[in-house]
Amino acid sequence: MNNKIRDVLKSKKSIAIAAVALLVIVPFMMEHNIILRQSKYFYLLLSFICIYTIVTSGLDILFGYTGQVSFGHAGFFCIGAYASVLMSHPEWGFGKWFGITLPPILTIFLAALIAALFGILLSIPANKLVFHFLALLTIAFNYLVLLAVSNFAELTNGYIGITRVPEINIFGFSFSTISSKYKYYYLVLFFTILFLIVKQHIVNSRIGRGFISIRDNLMAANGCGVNIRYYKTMSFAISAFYVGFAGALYAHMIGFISPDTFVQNTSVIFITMLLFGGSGNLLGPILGATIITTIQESLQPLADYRMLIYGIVILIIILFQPKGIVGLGKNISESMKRRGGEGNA
Amino acid sequence: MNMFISVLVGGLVLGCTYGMLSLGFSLIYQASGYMNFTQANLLMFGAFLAWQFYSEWKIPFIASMALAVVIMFFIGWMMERSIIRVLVAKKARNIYVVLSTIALSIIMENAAMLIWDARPHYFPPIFKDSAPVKLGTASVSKESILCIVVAICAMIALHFFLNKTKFGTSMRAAAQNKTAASCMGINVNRTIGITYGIAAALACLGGILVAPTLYVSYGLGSQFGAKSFAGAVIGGYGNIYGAIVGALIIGLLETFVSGYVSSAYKEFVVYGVLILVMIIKPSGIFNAKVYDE
Repeated sequence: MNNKIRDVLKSKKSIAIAAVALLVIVPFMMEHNIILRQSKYFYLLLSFICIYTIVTSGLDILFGYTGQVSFGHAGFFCIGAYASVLMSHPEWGFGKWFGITLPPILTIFLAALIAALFGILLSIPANKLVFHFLALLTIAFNYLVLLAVSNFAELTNGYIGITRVPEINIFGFSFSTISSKYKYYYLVLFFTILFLIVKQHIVNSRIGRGFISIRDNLMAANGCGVNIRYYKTMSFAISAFYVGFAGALYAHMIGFISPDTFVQNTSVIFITMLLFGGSGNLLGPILGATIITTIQESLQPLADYRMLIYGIVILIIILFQPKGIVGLGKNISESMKRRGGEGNA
Repeated sequence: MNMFISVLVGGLVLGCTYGMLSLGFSLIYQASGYMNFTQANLLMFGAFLAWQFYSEWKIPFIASMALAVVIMFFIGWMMERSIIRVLVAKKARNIYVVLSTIALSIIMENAAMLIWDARPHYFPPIFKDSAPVKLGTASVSKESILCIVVAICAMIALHFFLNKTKFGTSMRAAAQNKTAASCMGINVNRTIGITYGIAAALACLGGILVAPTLYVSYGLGSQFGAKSFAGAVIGGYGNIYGAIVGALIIGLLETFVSGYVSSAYKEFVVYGVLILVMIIKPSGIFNAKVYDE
């Protein structure tokens, strides 16, 4: 009996399915007051976690698998958000110039594609650079995007930002966002799972092996005939696609965007999430996004002390666990295995 | 001409302040191979300490400057000893060391906000007689001149410290080859710790010198961080002379663009030039190793 449970637990697929089922059922039951009570805030928190999971997974493709650091992914987040809004908003962008608007469900994909294009552009200088210079280049990229967005007021309304971003609806079914994030959460969850599955397929494919070879040993990869420039560009593009998509989802969820959201600190938070969770695997980004978002939100009542405690928590955890939360999990499971082995013997 | 001189002096003040930070970036990179994102907030913290001593406790300026610099030196040293050395001993990956400095900088920024509240503080003038100095027909404030002079003195002192003293030689030796240096009886850990201390002290000095021209607030660091890092990179990362040149270029560029073109575009130009440098000559002025091959 015990063994059976262990076998079930061991198969990762079943755990994933159980987790997804939980994420679907619990909010449903809450909405209908079966367990706990309706909580708009809870849905919002879950949606944020999902969006940040997409961002962090995208960053993971670039950093965790290809080994290229980025301190400017808020730039892609910004491009995704603004591109989608400008294409779908009746008063700005397309609506202002041509009088036509595209449905948001289409524009989030187009926005992600635009972000991917910018990723390819950024990769032209970035392909050649090592760690520190890459960090600086991405920081500069982030600032440039931010400056562009805040200075072209006719296009983006500058620092004031754009309000009344249209809601996403598919064939008339509206994912109403202003009253409650309940339905929107399911949409975001769907995309998150989709993106995670796609990520898993990418990193386990030929492309993913190319990425990993670049991360592990550039010389050897080059010697084995991996086209380094091509794979690095690819990695930037995929990563930017993920983050741009998440940015678009964010914009349509909040209904308001302004440059303040996309400052360089946001990029730092993204990379913190990734490193905190552990990079180069499926679970790390999910854990990182979940834990950091939860810490930040639960520290909200502390007001001014919030960021101080947040910094201290991160520092302490890095000091004791310099491999991220996933590393901690591995340590525990290893020590349990050891103990279990002794017990059997 | 008047405008040219005042813009030039403004650019030099900014460039020297960036220079103090870029020096720290380069020193630390040379000594330990890590990026330090705390640097800019050490500047802010140092400026606050000096403000506290000088403006609140009425200690004479020279004494409060010296006190703040010494305190920051020990804070920098302690930072290396209690955090970075621990992480290195645990064989943490580079990026986690960088993350720890990011966390530290979040802590410093918010600690400063809690200790000295969020509004900007006015740094009282250093000289009793606040009449500006005449340079030809242009008038320049004494604080700006003090800033430039002290910065140049600090840079020269650093040059002699690194090249002429025994300790400086051991620092350079530890930076070149840790194993060989420790075989020669150099305490490598201590030299790295002191390098962090010196970097913090330089940042603090930069903060104090720029404080009279700007207000002291907890956001002071974020104004300087990215651009002084850019200065260090443009000069050739890890080269202290390059760091100074790069920082001066950034400072002058920024002030001249905002003086003669428009202050709205100054950041555009700075980051645009930065990206151009990255594309055309990423090894910086004093060739650093950058390429990934």
